[in-house]
Amino acid sequence: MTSLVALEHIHKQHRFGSQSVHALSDVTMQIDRGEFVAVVGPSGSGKSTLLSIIGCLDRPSSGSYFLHGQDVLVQSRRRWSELRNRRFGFVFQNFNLLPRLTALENVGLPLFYRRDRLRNPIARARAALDRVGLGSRMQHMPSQLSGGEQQRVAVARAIVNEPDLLLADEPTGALDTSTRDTILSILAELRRGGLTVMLVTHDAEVAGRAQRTIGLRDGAVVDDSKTSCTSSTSTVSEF
Amino acid sequence: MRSLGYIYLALQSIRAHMLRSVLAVTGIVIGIAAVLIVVAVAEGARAEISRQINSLGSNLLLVQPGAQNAQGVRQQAGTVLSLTTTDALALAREVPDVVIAAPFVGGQKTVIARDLNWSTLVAGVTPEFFEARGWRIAEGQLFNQDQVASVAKIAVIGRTIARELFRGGDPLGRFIRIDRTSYVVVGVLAEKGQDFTGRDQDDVIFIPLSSARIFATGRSQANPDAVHTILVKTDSAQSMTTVGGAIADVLRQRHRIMGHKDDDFRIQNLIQIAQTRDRTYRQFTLLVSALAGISLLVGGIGVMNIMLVSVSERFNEIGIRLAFGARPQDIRRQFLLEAVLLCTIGGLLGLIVGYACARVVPSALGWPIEFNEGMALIAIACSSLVGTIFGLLPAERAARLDPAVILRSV
Ligand SMILES: Nc1ncnc2c1ncn2[C@@H]1O[C@H](COP(=O)(O)OP(=O)(O)OP(=O)(O)O)[C@@H](O)[C@H]1O
Ligand SMILES: [Mg+2]
Repeated sequence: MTSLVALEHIHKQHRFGSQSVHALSDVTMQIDRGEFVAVVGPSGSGKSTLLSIIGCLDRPSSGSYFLHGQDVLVQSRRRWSELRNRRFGFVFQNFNLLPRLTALENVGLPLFYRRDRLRNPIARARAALDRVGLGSRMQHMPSQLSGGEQQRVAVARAIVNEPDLLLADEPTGALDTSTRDTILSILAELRRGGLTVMLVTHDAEVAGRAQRTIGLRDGAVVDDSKTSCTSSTSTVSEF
Repeated sequence: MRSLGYIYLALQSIRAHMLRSVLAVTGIVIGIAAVLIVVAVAEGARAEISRQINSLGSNLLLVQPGAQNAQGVRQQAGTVLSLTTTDALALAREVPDVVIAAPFVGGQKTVIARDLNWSTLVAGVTPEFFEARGWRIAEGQLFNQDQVASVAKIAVIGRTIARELFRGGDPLGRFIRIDRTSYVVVGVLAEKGQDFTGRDQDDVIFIPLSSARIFATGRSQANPDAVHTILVKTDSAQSMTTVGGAIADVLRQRHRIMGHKDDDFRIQNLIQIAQTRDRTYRQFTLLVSALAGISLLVGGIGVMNIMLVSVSERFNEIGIRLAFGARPQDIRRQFLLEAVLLCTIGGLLGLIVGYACARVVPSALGWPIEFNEGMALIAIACSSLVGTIFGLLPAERAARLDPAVILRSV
């Protein structure tokens, strides 16, 4: 069976002027369906860069990337938009909700950009909000929601198109521990429903929930370990 | 459904920056208002000219005393009364294309009917005059050649006179005193309205040419047969251009003007006079058009500027949209539509301002204007065109944004 994501010898250089930063060097990895992967590493180690390459937000400088066995890097810009729309769901540290849209409209954003017409997009967005427990806050604006609630809306938006892979860049970085746990239990619930999750975190507690931890340093994979017990926190000591 | 979504988005972001948006479209408002004024004045002038050409009667020339050279009128018309009734007869007889040559004398007089008085143009004419102008009688009758020959004390009046002197009563058979003579009203002309100089063509009293000679209007010490104007009607529009020469030849010969000496008369085409007037409109129109063009340009640049600001303020929003599946063309469409909508709002405001200005300014100048429903269409079309042109660059910039910014914005 082919992996969901297969990266081979991925390099990414950020260039500005004559300077050039090697954000990723020779990254090779596979992610299978249903996995819960935590990406850890010090600041500047390339975690966000890795996520943006997997999520088709950015192109690697070299290497190859297969999604469901299909070469992603040869696809057109249009196709990339479609991949972002249907295959990936993003969750960010700072929520990144559109401030002038209601919770429901924010969740509906990926539906708005679908090529095919859904018969009832509103019901679909509402169902996604229900899954994160915010069915009663549909008409609230982001500014009327707490940080934890905003992040739950963001999670609903990420899953509304039933993506293959949820990509979360420090989703709990801006939250206190109790709201963090709410988000984590929602993610765990989604994972039980078959969703593949890859999240970047600085938090040992969060990483401990993952089934697999990938450690990055200076753009290279320095650790890739599976943890047998998904609720343990003691096994993560890398950082 | 989707385009409705885009319109909703655009309206929302315009509303979010209301003041800024309104300021940005000021140029558009002025530009569109100016465009509408231009169109309203041009339309008004066009309508007026065609109305005049209709009311002037076709194929008419005016022959008036006074010198004329290549630079135009040198001598005030009418100061020397060089034209006579016999000149008129000669023109009708000797120039083949001339159908009618109607002599005319006239002057401003204060006239009295019982206890009301009124200052008006009193004109002495023959029945040919009415024929040449194509003027119809509304009540009573016109006077005939016999009445002219018998120096009858009768008058045919315009509608304004009927209204001002007789206050709605039946004017037929009533008397009007002009100088020390009383004239009985035998006819009222059909209403004609203003001519192209804005003069009320119904504010006039016609009496037989022969009777008019009794008072000073038509009398010249040097030449008791003198007239102020000979109205010439030609047989066709084509002969209008050539008949002038033939008329001049006959008159030069009769007035014994030799070689290079200047004419003591001038020939005017009524339509040309109307068209001269049209030229003034056109100058105004040109000026306001320039204003319109500059305002739309400035307005367009203003909108482009505000859209560029908006794009850079909304990198995050664009990044989010791209991350959730917006294609570059979706982003382009969103921002282009926003620019177009912004300009269209400006255009609608311009429609209101232009309508108000077109009501006040040209009517203060005494100019006719025509405002119609098509103007709203022009306003919307012009402003959305400006929005499209000046929205392209900001929209393109938004569409080119790299979606990876979204992960860097923390
Ligand atoms: N657009 C860019 N231009 C130049 N350098 C960049 C750019 N984006 C990232 N980098 C650099 O690439 C390296 C990896 O950045 P990345 O954001 O992936 O790190 P990170 O592991 O996510 O860090 P953090 O934990 O602070 O978010 C860093 O050195 C960063 O400065
Ligand atoms: Mg990062």
